[in-house]
Amino acid sequence: MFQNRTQIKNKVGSNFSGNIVLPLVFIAVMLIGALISPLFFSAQNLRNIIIGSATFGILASGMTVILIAGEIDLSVGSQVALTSVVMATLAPRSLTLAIFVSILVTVSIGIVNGVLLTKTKMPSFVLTLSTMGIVRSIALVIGDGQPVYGVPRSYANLANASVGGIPLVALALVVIYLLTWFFLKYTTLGRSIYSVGSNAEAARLTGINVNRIKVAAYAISGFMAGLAGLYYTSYVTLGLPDGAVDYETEAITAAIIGGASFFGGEGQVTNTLLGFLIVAIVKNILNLMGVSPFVQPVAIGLLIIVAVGVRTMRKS
Amino acid sequence: MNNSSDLRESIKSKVPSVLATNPRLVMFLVLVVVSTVLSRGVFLSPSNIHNMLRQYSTIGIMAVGQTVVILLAGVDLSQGSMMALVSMVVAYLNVNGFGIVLPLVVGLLVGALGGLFSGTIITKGKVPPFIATLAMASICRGLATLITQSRPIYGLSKELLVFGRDTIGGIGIQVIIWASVGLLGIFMITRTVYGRGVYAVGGNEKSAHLSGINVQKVKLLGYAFSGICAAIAAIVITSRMDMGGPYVNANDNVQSIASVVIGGTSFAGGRGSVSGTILGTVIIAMINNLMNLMLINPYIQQGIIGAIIVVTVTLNQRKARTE
Repeated sequence: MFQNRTQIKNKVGSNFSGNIVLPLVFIAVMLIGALISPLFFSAQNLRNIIIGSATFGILASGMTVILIAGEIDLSVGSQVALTSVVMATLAPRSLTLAIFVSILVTVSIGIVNGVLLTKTKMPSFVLTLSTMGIVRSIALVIGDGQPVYGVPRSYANLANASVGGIPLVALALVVIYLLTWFFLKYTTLGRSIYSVGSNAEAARLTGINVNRIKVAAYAISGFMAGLAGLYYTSYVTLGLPDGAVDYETEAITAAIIGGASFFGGEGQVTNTLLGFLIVAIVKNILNLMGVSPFVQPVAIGLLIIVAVGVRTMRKS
Repeated sequence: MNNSSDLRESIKSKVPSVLATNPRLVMFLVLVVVSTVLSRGVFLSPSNIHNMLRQYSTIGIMAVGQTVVILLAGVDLSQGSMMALVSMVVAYLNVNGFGIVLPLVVGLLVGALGGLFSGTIITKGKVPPFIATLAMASICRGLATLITQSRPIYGLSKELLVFGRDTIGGIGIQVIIWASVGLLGIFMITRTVYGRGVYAVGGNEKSAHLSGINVQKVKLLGYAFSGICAAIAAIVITSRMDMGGPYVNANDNVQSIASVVIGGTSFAGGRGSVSGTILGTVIIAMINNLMNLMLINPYIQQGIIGAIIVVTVTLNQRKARTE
């Protein structure tokens, strides 16, 4: 009984010290924002943060799943661009069809990624760097390199829509993160992704079909890229075959700041949500300070290095 | 009679084995034949070959540096952005009255320091190479666009344009630079202590360390070399386009990796060669040239390069497994 209690205490304690840093950083960036500009906490600014960054938020939840599986997906930015082109091309005929085809396409790309990965055994960043080029090519060919017009106005308005003052996409993000959290924590498939990511050989010995789990993880990544693409289409109001470049980097940054490891088996989607918000707020603060938008990629790159560096030092 | 059939047998058994052990050579020969036939001989004209080599010299130069980091079981995803940054730095200094020599020296230094920075993150921070260089790519791209708020820089001095435009003895200076960097790479990798260190570290880091090799130093120098190659490529492309471009050829990074992969260097590290990479770049140049001859939609081209990487890595790994 006592032993049990100390065990619980230890567990709570370690979780507490591990999890406290991220919320503290989150609160710190919020405070910095408030100090920098009185506009920071205005409803309009908070709306702008979410509406402007939601695409990355959706991508980051899929990226967390892939990172937990011990892999990476660099093709999601191209998938977002392809989705926007498919949407702009098909939506004038039928919105339902366009959405259905978009998701079908990105889930298929995910499955192809997963199958190629497990069949060829090549490093996932090489494979998805290649499919990144292939998917971008397809988007450029369909759109003939030009923006595609034709997204219905009603659909384009969705990105800015709100319910009782809260942006619709904020609610969507909450639902997406809740579902991903539930999926990773309470489903067999979700838990298998953790075990495959932390030790594929051990997972195989316990009877898990490692290849199938990896394909499933990529399918989820594709599904999330499709959702992100649906939102992106509404946000930019057109199909952009050369859009969403480097979006994968920001999604990876959010997941890494949230504590996902490149070596697999680690990561929590709730922390990724915090990571995503921290990145979005840092970008917003730079905007409010009047810093050139071209500084943002520099900040993102430094954030990745600092986040991974700090974690490595804490471990050693 | 007996002799000639013996000879025939021995040729028969030798030819396929040469081709089987060197798929690049097969690819190269097939491409030469197909391109020549499809273009009705235009492909083999000296001007077409020269143009092709000039056009792909930047990718060729980058690929030499990429080979060293991939031999070290790493990768450099920041070469493309580094090229943009150096292009902007060189052009900026040049149009602001700093002459020729200083911009070039600073450009090369930026490449070397950028590489050292990535290398430090990888060796000291234990960050996987692809993520460290992905972060570095983001940083370089940001800095490149920051210099002029993403506008290209025009109006370079005439003297700066020699690297991408002039010829010596009929051969473009950029091709000569590519050849020199390639030869330097081959020499460095096959004939120096450093080169043996690269193969040792890439093959098995632990045993390299145990045999007294300074693993961190070998890696640092590898990434610095990759950065310098990107900087040299930047100077060539700045000169050829007569401008500093914050968005120059972001796709070149993938083509540089593709050259290395087609050249037979393994992502597992420790196996491959710079000479293979040079042939790899030539093959990519020929494939693109062929697609142009066949009037294939240029938008498909980067997809084709992606597909080629997947196929070649798969074949290389098949081969490695059967060996």
